[in-house]
Amino acid sequence: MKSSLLAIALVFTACGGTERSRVSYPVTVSGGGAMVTTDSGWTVTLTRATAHLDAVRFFEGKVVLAKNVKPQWWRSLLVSTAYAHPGHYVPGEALGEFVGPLDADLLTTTPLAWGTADGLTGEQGSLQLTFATAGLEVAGTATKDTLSVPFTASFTPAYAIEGVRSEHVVGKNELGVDVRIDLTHIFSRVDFAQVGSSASPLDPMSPAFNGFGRGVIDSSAYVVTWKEN
Amino acid sequence: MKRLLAVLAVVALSGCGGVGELSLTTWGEEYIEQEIPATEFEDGFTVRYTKFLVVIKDFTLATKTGMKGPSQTGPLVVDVNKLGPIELQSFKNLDAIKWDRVSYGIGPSASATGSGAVAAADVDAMKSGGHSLWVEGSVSKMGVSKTFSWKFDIDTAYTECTNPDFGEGVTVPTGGKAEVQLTIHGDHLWYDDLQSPDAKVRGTAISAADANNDGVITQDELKAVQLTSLPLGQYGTGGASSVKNLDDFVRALGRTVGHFRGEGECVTTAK
Repeated sequence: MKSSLLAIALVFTACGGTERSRVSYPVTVSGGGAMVTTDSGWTVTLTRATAHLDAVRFFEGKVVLAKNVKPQWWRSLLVSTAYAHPGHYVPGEALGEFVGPLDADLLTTTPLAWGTADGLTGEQGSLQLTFATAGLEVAGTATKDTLSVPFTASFTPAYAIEGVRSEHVVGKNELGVDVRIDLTHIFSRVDFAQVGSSASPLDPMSPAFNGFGRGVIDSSAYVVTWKEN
Repeated sequence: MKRLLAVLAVVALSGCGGVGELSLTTWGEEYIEQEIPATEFEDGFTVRYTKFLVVIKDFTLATKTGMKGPSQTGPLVVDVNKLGPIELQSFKNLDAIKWDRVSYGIGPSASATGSGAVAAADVDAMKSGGHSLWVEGSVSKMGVSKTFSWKFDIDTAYTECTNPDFGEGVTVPTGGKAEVQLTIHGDHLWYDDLQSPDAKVRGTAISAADANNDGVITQDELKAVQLTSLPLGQYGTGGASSVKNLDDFVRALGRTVGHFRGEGECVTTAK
């Protein structure tokens, strides 16, 4: 799997497919602060948030879900389009990848260098992010009213996170791309009133852990920003 | 003379300058007319619909080159639980060309009229309630059956419709008649993932949502089921983080019921 998709794309290109050029660009990962708030009103102060990453792959296919976005004028920018069928996100042609380990401290405010992706020029639609075995590890304290819940948790997605929006026309002189892991998004579903038998580590059968896991696999928790030329 | 005949033959073959007809129909297929069998469900349920009302509107023919063709006369309420296909409109004297930009919508309309065998009271209820989709039926397993009646106001545009067998849009033949069937897929409301290609058709979570166990699964009961209470491998939302409970989930799936000429698809956009 690793480099096969890109290799296929290169062969396709060489055999008369769409004209593309080889290109490389740096990839960074960023987090965004130690304080987040959940949908259920918990304020979470993180002391640790480490994403163990393994690979990022860029694809031609656009993201698939239609969702309602207001205000209206945003719609054309943010509403994803898709063929009308669950599961019809088609990654399409592989247009770039970087494979290599990174233990990203998401509490730092500056982007962390991950590596240099090799790929092809052309229009991208999405990316795929693969976590390493250790997944995403977090620790901290959640507070709400008079309650305080120290917690730790670790979740590793069973599959790569697919369908992360990355709509960009890759040129020959790209300055780089940043993948921000939005911890507010990841914690949004976690209700620390439902931690089950344990908060540290979070009971894996609890709704709180379930919400954490759903946050990690939510492709909209990953925000891709291409640096302006 | 020979040259003239040759020119005429070319014109006839290419269809240039001719006109034809188009019949616009809709069909709920066997899944909506009869049942979704247990073999389709991952967990052995069956679903039988007794009502499957949709408001179909804004059917439009166009071409990639910018040529605009005729549009649907007005929004129509159709019950695709009734035996189909149901003809919605017939377009006559159409330019006999390939209309490769075909679109339509499923959304509420206060001015919709009934089409086919649909009860007048149902049409009124759809219009006054601002609904675009109203499904009623039962979900059953091993002798236990629960009923449901869910109404949605979702407004979805289906554009750039294409079909793997027929290609983009529809080709109207000179002097002939083409058919465009807007096919409604009733199994989609039971999928367990909004994005994954491995989505399964399931009934367990929705059937269990009947919290007061009165045999009726209401939308309030669906709303009370947070996705965080369901197994992590099921009811994935892809990037739709606003989908938090089962009612949100079925509502999101409601945007996927519209298809094009069978298994064909369109680009969907929420309005």
